[in-house]
Amino acid sequence: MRHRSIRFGKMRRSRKAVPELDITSLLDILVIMLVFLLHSYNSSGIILNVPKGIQLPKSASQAPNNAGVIVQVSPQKIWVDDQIILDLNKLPSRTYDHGGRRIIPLFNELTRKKEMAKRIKKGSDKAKPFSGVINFVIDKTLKYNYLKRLMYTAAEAGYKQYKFVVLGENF
Amino acid sequence: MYRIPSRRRNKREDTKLNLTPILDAVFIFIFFLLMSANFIKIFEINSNVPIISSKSPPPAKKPLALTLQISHTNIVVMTGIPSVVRRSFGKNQDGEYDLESLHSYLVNLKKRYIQEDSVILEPLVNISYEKIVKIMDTVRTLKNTDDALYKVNKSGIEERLKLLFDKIIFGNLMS
Repeated sequence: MRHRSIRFGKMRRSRKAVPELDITSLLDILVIMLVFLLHSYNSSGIILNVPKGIQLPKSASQAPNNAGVIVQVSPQKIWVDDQIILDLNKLPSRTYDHGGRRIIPLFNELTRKKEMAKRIKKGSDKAKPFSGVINFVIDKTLKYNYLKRLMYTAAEAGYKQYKFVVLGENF
Repeated sequence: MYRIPSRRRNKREDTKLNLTPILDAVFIFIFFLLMSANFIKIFEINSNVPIISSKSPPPAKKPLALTLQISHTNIVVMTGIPSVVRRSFGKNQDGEYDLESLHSYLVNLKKRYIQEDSVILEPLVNISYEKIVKIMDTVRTLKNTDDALYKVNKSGIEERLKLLFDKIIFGNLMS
């Protein structure tokens, strides 16, 4: 009798169905997440780094960003493609020329970048030609006179298209 | 009288969809999007370097040469070569430039010069970059509440304009 009951018990256990997981709610979450991420997807493929100390102005513009040299300007520092080229706390002996309109370290760095792009183009046909595009990531508190110096320096270095990077109005 | 439902039909088991591969794909997609997601929307405003040309404009076509002179107290709208003052916009009670009136004026101007899309900005004072961006927005964007403007494109089809004067040039850059 005892043996029999064990055998029947085993049979009962084996008949138990595998519990199925209800993944409906998980799927709901995934779909919502997918829609949200697709909405915030950046198709331009350009990574813009906004250094500490720079507050971008808000704008109604909806124009996507373009590739080019990135010049980040805070009240204290200037970066070109994330590399500090001028720190106002440690000014070099000669910072400005052309009657104070041209920023020498910025001009030198931009010229170097331009020459490098041209050299790469010479070496490979597949390389993109020098576009002359400059992306300005500028702090909103800076004044027009300083902005004018930046634009003048960029123009002198051969950059003909300025792109002012701004923050979308809803953010 | 209703018939008793057949037992054979009831015995049929529901076929369940195998969601595993779909879920795998969705997960990979989500990770990819999370990596490339841009939670802060960053855009740009385009501006070109002013080019000084000794060539005279074509005689048949009179350019608008829209210029905005920004001073401490007002924004002066000028057009034509040589420039003629059209209108001046002062500041409102909050001490800010009256950009709403300026925008309405520019929309009306655009209706008359639909082919024109350039504007020259000449800040005469040391205003902040934030204020310059606001002025650029006023000059270049068309709001949903503005009248619809249409322009005939190269293929002869009328298309609705999305921007007002979007080619911004800083006129006094080299001075």
